[in-house]
Amino acid sequence: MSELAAASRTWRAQPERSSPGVMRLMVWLALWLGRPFARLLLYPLAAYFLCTGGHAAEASRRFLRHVLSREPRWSDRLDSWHTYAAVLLDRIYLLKGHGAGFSIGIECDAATDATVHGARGAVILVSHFGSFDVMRVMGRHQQHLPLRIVLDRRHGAMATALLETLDPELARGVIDAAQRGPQLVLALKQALDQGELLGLMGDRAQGQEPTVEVPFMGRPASFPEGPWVLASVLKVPVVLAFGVYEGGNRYRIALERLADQVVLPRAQRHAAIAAYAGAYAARLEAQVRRAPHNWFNYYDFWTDEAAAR
Amino acid sequence: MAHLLVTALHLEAVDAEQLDPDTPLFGTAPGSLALDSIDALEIALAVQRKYGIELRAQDQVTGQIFASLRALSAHVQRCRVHS
Repeated sequence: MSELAAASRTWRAQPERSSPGVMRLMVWLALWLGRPFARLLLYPLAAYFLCTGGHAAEASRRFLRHVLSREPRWSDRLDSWHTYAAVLLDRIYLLKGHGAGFSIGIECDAATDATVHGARGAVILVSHFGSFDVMRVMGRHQQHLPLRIVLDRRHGAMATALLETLDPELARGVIDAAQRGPQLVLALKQALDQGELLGLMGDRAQGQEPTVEVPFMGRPASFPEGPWVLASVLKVPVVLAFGVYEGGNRYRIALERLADQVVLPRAQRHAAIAAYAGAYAARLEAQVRRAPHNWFNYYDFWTDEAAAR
Repeated sequence: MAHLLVTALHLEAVDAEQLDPDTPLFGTAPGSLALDSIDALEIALAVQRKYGIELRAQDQVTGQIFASLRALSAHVQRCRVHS
């Protein structure tokens, strides 16, 4: 357990990439230049991330080495950071409501569609893979999905600040996961009763949340238990959501229903949680293999990797 | 309250009528129901649904409230009187 905790601490130990000043400058520049001109800055920005990224740049390199099964070339590494920079830039336009210029494809089968529009609400599991803003925007404008983001405000303070600058309405809807046990459940229940969907992070544990270790791309990695516990207690379905950046102005949103109901029998709670987390890891893996440059977990994601360091 | 507990937690092996109000709910002591944190969330939801009372995770007080069926019932009673 202690090494799991150490592994899940790894990403939180990293300083956030940019300072508030840099962030404000980027937002101002992006809005002043407009997307076509701002995109001219993406390769220089990617090169900057690649050269100054330190631990994050190394983690990205190790990830590419594993997924490509060979030593990544400079061009692979640059492409990866270019994708990151592009998604980061597009956040600004998407949150600002300038979503009209984007071409967004949606993959969603009938059962999943019925689930996300159903009266029961659902847990929508997102990952640090591609863009979740593209889904938030879709959530509010195109399909009228009332999505509430659940995140720990103490971590990712910068992300919250960006959200508050660009889209105060969405920021106000954030449910703070720093609340403990029953309070959080009751807050989530209230949102569900209002017909809203709960957006949770599926790939990173928040705060002191317990984790479960399951195979991901052939190696052990720890995933949070929280989403499965919450879905089981609240008796709602779990839908996975991936917003994959495909270059240019193209995004692909994939919605996949993982479970109509999460059942954690008392006698086999841990095994049941591991089974759900394992199923999620397998679906995540399939998406990551299709678009590896969208992987934005720039830290030792695998437990064996974290333990070896 | 005993019925609420047994129903909310699917405690098939426990008879609500026979449940001793002083049985410890959590922990590994002999005779304890040995509930876990997930059960605590279930109880909080069930109590909120039935009595409209929000059990909050504050510290030691929560430990006392959840100590036994009797303590939980007493707490719910107190909250209902005050509201």
